[in-house]
This record gives sequence, structure tokens and C-alpha cells, in this order.
Amino acid sequence: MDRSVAGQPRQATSPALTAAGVSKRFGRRVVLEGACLQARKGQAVAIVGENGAGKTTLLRICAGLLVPDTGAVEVRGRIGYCPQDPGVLDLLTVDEHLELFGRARDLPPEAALQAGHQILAGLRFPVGDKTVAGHLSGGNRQKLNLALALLGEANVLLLDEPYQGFDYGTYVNFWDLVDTWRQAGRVVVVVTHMLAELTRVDHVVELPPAHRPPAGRSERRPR
Amino acid sequence: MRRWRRVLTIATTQGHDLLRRHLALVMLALLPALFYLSVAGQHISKGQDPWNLNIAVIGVAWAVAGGAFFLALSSRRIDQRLLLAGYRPAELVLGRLAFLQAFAFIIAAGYSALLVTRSPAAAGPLILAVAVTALIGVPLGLALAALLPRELEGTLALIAIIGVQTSQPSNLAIAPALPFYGPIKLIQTSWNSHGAILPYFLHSLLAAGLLLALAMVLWTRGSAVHSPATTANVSTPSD
Repeated sequence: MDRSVAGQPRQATSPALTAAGVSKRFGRRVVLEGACLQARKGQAVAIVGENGAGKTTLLRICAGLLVPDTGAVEVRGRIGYCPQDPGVLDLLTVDEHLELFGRARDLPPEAALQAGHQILAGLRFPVGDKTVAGHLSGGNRQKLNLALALLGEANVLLLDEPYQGFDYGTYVNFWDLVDTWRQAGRVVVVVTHMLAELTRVDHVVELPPAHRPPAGRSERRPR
Repeated sequence: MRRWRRVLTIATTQGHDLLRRHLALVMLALLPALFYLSVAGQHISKGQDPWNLNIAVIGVAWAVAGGAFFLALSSRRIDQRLLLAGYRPAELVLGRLAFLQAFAFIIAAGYSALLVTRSPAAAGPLILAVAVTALIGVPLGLALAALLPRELEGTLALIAIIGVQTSQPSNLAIAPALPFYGPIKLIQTSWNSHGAILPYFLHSLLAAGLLLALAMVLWTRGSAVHSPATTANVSTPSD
């Protein structure tokens, strides 16, 4: 049975994110073939698969950063995208990153800093640190990377292994945050290798290796 | 108003990025002077091609275009993410252009002061030549960073463009097709104390404008996001 986080029956809403029959090749190499993904408001989806199965490619297609060769993607709402490699500038401080990304959402600097600090505090980041991003530890860079995706109340979160380098406490906390985001009605799509956490999502999209079609078998997970 | 705030934010970000590269700042400031001082002792008679002044101006071109190229490349890695967050491609280009152009004019101003005090050439065209070199160099660097976004290829192209400019006499048929033709001719006018200024000034403006247009088109196409995050309903059609 498909249940909402709070145990209430989920309302029949139209999908906030739909990817249907998505295929992508780079040169002769087929990375994705017929992959499908669907998520409604308040749902979490995990994308799993071996290295090279096309998880990041599917996420980038959902974000609009790549065009699929075939298939269609529809997104209803504002995307928050967290890339696998921290998409930050080494010579900017944390606050400067928050102001830069906040301005993209038309947030004044004070509002961007306030919202950003709140997100970072939730990720156990030492808020107020004036260090430039290039001097942050790997885990803290990743926290900043994730915070930038969350800034501005995006309601479709596309997170590509967002917990890399997190300490154990923050990692556990991350999955609690996923629940919180779901409760707030956000869609959360997480590329992950952490199969132990798959009980915490609504759907799992398992991508087989690229040479083994068909791809994108979607399986509903009971919660 | 919102758009200009975004442009200002990008310009400020570019400023933070450059101003924290202390060694690079010093090198960018000294590079044109190094070029000039290396040839400043050469005696050139009036009526001859003032090649030492040409090289001096080319020093500004190297510093400005090279600086713009590498700074744009370093920022480019987060461009798609910024676009997904809500920026528009033109805002990214204009923001970077605004800061880099201001920085280039500061270099040009300092360098003009050096040239005017040390060279017998007419000051007006000389200063104008250095200024338009800065004006052309920034969009040249931005366009190259968008066209060849890998460091080696882009650097080699930059070397080729400015190198050919240095090696070609300005009276060859191909010379007007090169980006720094206008500044070189202004230098000659400055040295000989006669000749037209306006055509070469306009040529320089045209070169800067074309390079900027090229940079805008290339950045817009190269950083395309196919489902803008600010749109409420987004669909990526299949082929």
C-alpha cells in the first residue's frame, strides 16, 4: 500500500515529475534506454544501479541539463539540483555562495543568508565560517553543495549522491530531512548506492547496466 | 531592476574571484609593462612602423584577453547550475563583462600613464589605442572561453590570434580582419602625429561589438538549460 509520510492516504495528485521512455547515448555508448520515473507531490524516489548505469544522466535529463535522445520529461515546479561534484567556486566564501544563488531566486542578500544559514545549521555545518569553499573539508563542501540546491524553496529536489563525505550523524540526519521535505510536499529524487535506506523512499528506480536493456524498471516500495 | 541586480551580483562574484588571486593580479598588472619595457630602448624614427609601441599594446591584449579567458573558464563550471537556479545566460555574460571590462580599463589607465610619460608619441591616440585594446580584449577572452572551453585548446587559439596580430604588418589585406587592427593603426597615428583616428576607433568598436555578440551567442548555446527552473510547468519534448 502506498502511504503518505504521516500515514494519511495520499491525495490523487498529478505527477510533479515524470520521465517516460528516456534514452540517451553518448557517441556509440548507450547510457539509458527507455528509463521511466514518476513522482508525485510529497514522494521520494531513489535511483539505484551499478556504476555507469546512467543514474546521473537520468537526473541531469530530469533537471534539463541534458536533452534525451528519445522520451519526455515533465516537471511541475521549481527544481533544486545538487550535482555529484560540488558545484561551488573555490574562491568564494559560504555566505557569498548563498548570496549568489539566493539572487537567482530574487532573494535579497539578508534573506538568502538567513535561509541559507538555517539550511546549513540543519546539516550540522559550522554557520558563520568565513573560509572560502576551496578550503572547506570535503564533507562541508558537500553540505554547502546541498544547501545551494535547497535554497529558495525548490519543490522538486534532484539530489545526486548528496551525502558523499558526510559524517555518520549528518548522513542519518539527511534521511530524516528527506522525510521532512516529503511532509512539506516536496518531491525528492536521490541517486544513491545506499541500499539500506531504500525503505525510506516511496519508489525505487533501478537502472540496469547500459548493455542490458530494458532499463528503468520502477518498483513501488511499501513504507 | 531585478535583472540588473542579478547582473551586479554576477559582477561582484567575478570580482571576489579575481581579487583573491593575489599573484595573478600582480602578474596581470605587470604583464603589459614588461612587454613595453623589454622594447622601450629601441630607437624608432618618425615615419617608421612603431613596432615597439605595437608590442606594448599587444601586452595589454595578452593581459586582458588572457585574464578574461581563464576567469571565464573557471566560472563556467557552475554556469549550468546558476542557470537552473534562475539566472539567464545574458545575465551571466553581462555580469562578467561588467567586472572584467572595468578591471581591464584600470589596467589600461595605469599603462597609458606609463606610455605617455615615456614615449614621444601623441598622447591622445596612444591612450585611445590602449583603451580600445582593453575594450576588445575582454570579449575576445569571453568568446574564446565559450568556443573552446578547454584550457589547452583555448590558450593555443589565444596565442594564435594575438601572435598573428603581432607578426602581420598592418598594411596587409588580411590585417583589418584581425581584432586588434584598430589599436595598431591608432598607435601608428599616435607615432606619426597625423592621420585619421575615427575610422580605426570605429573599427575597434566594431571588433569589440562583434566579439561580444559572438560571446553572447556561444555562452547562451553552450550553457543551455532545457527546462528553466523558474517555469511553473516544464516539458522536454522527445525527438
